[in-house]
Amino acid sequence: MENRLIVSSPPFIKTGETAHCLMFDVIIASLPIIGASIFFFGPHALFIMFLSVATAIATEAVIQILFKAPGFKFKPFFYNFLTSDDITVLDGSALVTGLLLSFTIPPGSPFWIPMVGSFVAIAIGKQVFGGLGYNIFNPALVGRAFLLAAWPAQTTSWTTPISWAEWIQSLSLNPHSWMIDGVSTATPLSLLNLQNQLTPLSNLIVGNTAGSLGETSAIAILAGAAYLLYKGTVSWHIPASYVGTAFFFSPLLGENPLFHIFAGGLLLGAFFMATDVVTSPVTKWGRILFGAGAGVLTILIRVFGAFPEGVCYSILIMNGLTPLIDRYTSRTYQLSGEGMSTGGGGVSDN
Amino acid sequence: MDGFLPTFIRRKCAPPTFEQLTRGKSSSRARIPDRVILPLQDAPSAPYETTTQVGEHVRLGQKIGLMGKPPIYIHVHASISGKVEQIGPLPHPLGFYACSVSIVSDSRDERCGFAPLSSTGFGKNKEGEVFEGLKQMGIPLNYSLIHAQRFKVSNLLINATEFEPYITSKHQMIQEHGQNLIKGLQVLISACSARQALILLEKDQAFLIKALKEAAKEVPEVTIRGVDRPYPETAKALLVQKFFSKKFNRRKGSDSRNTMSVDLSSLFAIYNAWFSGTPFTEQLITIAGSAIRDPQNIWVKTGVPLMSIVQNSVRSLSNLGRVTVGGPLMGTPQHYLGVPLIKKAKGIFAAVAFSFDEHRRSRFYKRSPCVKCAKCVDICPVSIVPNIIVDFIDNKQLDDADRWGVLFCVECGLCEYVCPSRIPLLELMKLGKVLLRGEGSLLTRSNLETLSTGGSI
Repeated sequence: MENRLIVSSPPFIKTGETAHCLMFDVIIASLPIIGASIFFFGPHALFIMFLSVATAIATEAVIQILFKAPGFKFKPFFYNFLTSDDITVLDGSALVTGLLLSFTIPPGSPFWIPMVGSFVAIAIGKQVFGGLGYNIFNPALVGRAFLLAAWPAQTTSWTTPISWAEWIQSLSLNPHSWMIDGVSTATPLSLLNLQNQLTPLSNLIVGNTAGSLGETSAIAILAGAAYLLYKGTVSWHIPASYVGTAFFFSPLLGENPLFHIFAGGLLLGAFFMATDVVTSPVTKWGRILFGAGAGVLTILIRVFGAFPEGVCYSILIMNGLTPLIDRYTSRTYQLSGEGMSTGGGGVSDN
Repeated sequence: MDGFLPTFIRRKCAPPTFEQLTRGKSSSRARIPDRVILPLQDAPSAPYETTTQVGEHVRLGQKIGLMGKPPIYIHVHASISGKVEQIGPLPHPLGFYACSVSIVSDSRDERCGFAPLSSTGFGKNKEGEVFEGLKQMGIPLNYSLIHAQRFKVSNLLINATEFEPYITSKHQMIQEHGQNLIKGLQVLISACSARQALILLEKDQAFLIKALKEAAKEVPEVTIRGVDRPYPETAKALLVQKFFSKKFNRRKGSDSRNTMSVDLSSLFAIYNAWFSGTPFTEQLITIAGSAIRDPQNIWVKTGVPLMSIVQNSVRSLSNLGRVTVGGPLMGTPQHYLGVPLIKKAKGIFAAVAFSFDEHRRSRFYKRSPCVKCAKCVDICPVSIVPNIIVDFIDNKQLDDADRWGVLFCVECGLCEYVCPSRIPLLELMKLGKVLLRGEGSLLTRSNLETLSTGGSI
């Protein structure tokens, strides 16, 4: 033979899609949320998001250089950085984690809160387990849970949305005037919990309420979610069962279902946190169970728990149950021992 | 960052069909090849018999040997006229040396005198004699099933959906010979006194469904059904369970064990054998792929070496990278183009050598850890969980892989096609099957064997 032919295992065609396409899809879908958070909470929101993302990427890079790529050559730094097989910072997962973590942080929090949160999210939430694909819990929520446990005062002090006109008028060359001291207030869920006061639904949908950076504006979240569903990055199972369960379970406890869906981080959790592919079940019924369990837990924590918000913990609990859900929702087959007839590929009746 | 661009494109899970490459072109007939190689074995150490000698002059359609052993056998016929050059082990497309008869053409295409089966009294005297006639015409049917059921096959299943991208030979066959296919099917229905015959076609091929329905108007047994997605040829057991099993189709009362799945090419060959007496010496294949200048459907002689098909239609032989018998999802790659075309082949896929090297790829196109995106689970036609099974096979937990259904894999390759982490899912599933049951459990391989059926159906 003058030319050699290539023999390999089929299939010989592949989609052009890679794992980091999924990550950048999430980034694109969160653009409206970024816009909404800047609109409602001012430039300080952008600062928090930047810090969170930068710390996440830096943490991942440092950990991978230290532990996963021992022979890493620093000399042509960026070339090696781009081409190394061991350092996978550029796959976008750290970016997504940092961004999603910043969405759960109050707008008025000090600068070190997103940094510590991102560090914990990447180091303890993800890299300890072996990196992308091996983590059990959603890293962003691990970071959020850590912050909530370690600094409850800073992570539960909320501010009202800013007024852009006042801010522009007060601008001067002094950097201190660039920051805004928002008026301290309570989130719609705390208002309900402590003062039994319902926030109007229109405020919740537009996002003109107090809350974490990314969770207030339902319109922005739904726009991003529509993009994710259109691209097929997430399947409809988890969000539908999550929101649906919350909608039908909250009236049983005497709550307003629409308020519970649009208040707090339920929509953000349903479309961006619970659908994290690594930590959610793979079978279709497993995904539906996962969403339903998270929905029930969220409402239970909100109504009976000490915290006004339960999205973070409900998703983390269901993340822990994911391998179990996978095991019990997949079809199992009889072992093909000696007793069974030959001719693999026959479909049995079970 | 060169995997970044697909982010902005809406991705579909199902592979593109590339139908437009061959649509609207009528099939052509290939030139008479210089030589043909007719394998007498379809598995290593399978029984065979030759009825010709080296140096003998044979004519088209003359019997030159016997594949298999009575009662399960078929005759092998010369597909060109010429001189027998060699009888001995020659490379077979399934990757072993099979005893084959190599015939050098005299380019005259002399034919034997053919007598149609219908005029020779086949099927008039005794039950099952039609099958003897079909065996003598070299038509690949599931004879082992026919013998096991003592000619009582009550359902026929014809999967006319094109699962493979690029390959359109079944649709072309229906378009050009729909009437004849139904006539061949009628012969088969009356031969095994089947109660119903089900032809599956994609729903979006409304034109073909209409044409077939028109042709089958007078045959009450034939049902033409549109299905949502194409099914691979190896998924016979799945289709039988879906369309014939009592569990799913209680009213029909038919049993899946009495179902035989038939190829379209066999139906056309039955028509030819019954009405004109021509044995199976010609078949319709699609030749397509990035290396092919003009993708099209062509009628070629059975047993023609791949080289003589490929060199006429390829852009340039020097950058030919991969040639497979079958389509790009389930085909068998070839390392040597002197292998013959076998009867069950539906097409040839030839691709240029372009960025096949693993080390020259960006790291985003190399294997990375599973992110459990569950795209493989969503697309799997038999509803198993490929990513978890592959985890088990990687960790040598074969019992667990078995329990999660690795043996039910139909090797369609869709899981590996959609995998964004570039995990060789199909390769590992096949490895697991081989470790569990040996090479006989590989469906894509046994599906191409003439006398085997690819699974239990």
